[in-house]
Amino acid sequence: MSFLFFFLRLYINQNRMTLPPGKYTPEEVAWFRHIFDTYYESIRSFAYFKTGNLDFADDIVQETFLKIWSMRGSIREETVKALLYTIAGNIIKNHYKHLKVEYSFQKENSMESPSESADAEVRMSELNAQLQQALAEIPPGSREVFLMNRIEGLSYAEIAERLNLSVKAIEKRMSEALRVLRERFKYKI
Amino acid sequence: MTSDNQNSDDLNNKELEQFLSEMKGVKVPPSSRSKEDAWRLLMQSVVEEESKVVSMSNSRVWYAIAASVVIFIVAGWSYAWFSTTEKYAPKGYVSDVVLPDGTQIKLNADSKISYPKFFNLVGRKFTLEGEAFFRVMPGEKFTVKDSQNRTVEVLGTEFNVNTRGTVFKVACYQGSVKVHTPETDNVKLTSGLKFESVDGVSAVNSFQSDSISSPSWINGEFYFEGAKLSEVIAELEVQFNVTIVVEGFNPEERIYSGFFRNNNLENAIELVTLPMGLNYEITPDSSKVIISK
Repeated sequence: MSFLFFFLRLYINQNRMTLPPGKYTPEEVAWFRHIFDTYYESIRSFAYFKTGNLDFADDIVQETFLKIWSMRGSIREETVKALLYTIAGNIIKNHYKHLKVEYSFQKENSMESPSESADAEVRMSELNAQLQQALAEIPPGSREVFLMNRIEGLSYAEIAERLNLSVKAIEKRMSEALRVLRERFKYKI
Repeated sequence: MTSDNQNSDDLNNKELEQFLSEMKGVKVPPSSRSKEDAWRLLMQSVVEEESKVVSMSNSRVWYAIAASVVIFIVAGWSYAWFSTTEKYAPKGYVSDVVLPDGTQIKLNADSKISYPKFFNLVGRKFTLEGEAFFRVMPGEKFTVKDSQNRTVEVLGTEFNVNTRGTVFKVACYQGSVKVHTPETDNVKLTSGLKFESVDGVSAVNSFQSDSISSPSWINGEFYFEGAKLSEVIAELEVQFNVTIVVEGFNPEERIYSGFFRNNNLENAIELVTLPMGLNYEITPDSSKVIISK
C-alpha cells in the first residue's frame, strides 16, 4: 500500500516539474518570457540606481516580475513598460526605504591589456569615489533620471515613457542633477 | 541666469564635461546570477505562487466541509421540526395518549392527533382530526389545530375539541383557552364556556361544567341537545364501528336531544330511534344498521 503511495507521489511530483499546477497557458509563459527578456536589464539598473545595492536590485527584479505575472490577466500591452517601473518603484518605496545609497559602477570591459586594465581599475575606483560623492548630492528623483540617461543611455522621451512622466519633467530633473553637479565642481576648484 | 553664474558655469564646464565623458563607459555591475538563472528563479516563484492558488482552493474544501456541517445541522433540526408522531383511535375505540410532559389526551373513536416528535424542543403544536379531550400540563404554549386551520390556544387547562365533519366545537372545562378560526378573531373561553361552529355559524354558549369536569364521551356517554340526527348517527357509526343506512327521511332535518352509551349497540340505537318514532334493524354480524321511518 505504501509503495503505491510512494509511486503516486513520485508521479505527482514529476508532473509538477514538467507541468506546474495553475491556470495558465503556454502563450502566457511566452509573453512573460518576452517581457522579462526585454526589461530585465532595465529594471535591474533602475533598482540599482534607486538602492545602490546589487543584491537588492536582484530581489526587486524578482518581485517586480512576479507581480507582473500575477497581474497578467489585466495588463494592456502598451502599459507594461511603465507598469514595471511603477511596481519596482513601489516595492522600493515600501521595502527599501532609508537606505544609504552606495554606488559602485563598473567600466565597460574594453580590450585593454592586463597592465592597462590594472591602471583602469585604479582610475575606476577614483571615478567611483567621485561619482559616489557627486551623486549623493543629487535628490533621488533627479538622480535616477540622470543615471538612466547617462549610464543606461536612454533618451528623455524614453525615460518619460517609462516613469510615466512628461518629457518636460524629465528635462527639469536632468537640469536639476546637472545643476547640483555643476555646483559641486565649482567648489572643487 | 546672471552673467556671473554664466561665467562660473563656463569656468566649471571643463571639469563637468570631463566628468560626464568619464561616465560614458560606466555601467551597472553584472548580477551575481546570470539572466537565465534569474528567469529560472522567477519561474520557480511563479510555480510556488500558482500552487498557493491551488492550496487556496483547498480552503474551498474546508468551506465545503463547513457548509455540509451546517446543512447537516439544518437537516437534523428540520427533521426534529417536521417529524411528527401520530396517534389514531380507530372506530369503536377510545384511546389514551400520555405525553412525556404529563399532558393527557383522550382520543375519541375515529380520531387522529399528530404532534412533533420532539415537541418540547419544537413546541406543543397539535393537529387534530376528530375529537379529543385534553388535560394539559402547565408549561409552554400549547396549540391544537384542525385541518381547516382553526386553532385552539391553550393557557394550561382541560378542554375538549371536536372537529368532526364541518363541526368545530371547543369546550373548556378548566382554566382557559383561546379559539381562533379563519372567520372569527380570538375568542377566549373560560371554564364552562363552549365555542361551537357549525356550517360557518359560530357561537359561544355556556354549559354545565360544575357537575361535569370532563366531557361525557370520556365515560362512554354521549349527550346531544338539539343536534342534527345526522351528527348523532355519525357518532353512533364511529363509536360502534358500524355502517348506518337511513331510509325514508333526511337525517339532516331531524333534531335529536338525548343520549346514548357506547357499551351496547342495540340499547344505543334504541335510545336514539324510539323517541323519534323510527324503526331500526341490525344485521346479525352487527356491522350494519338500517334506520327507517
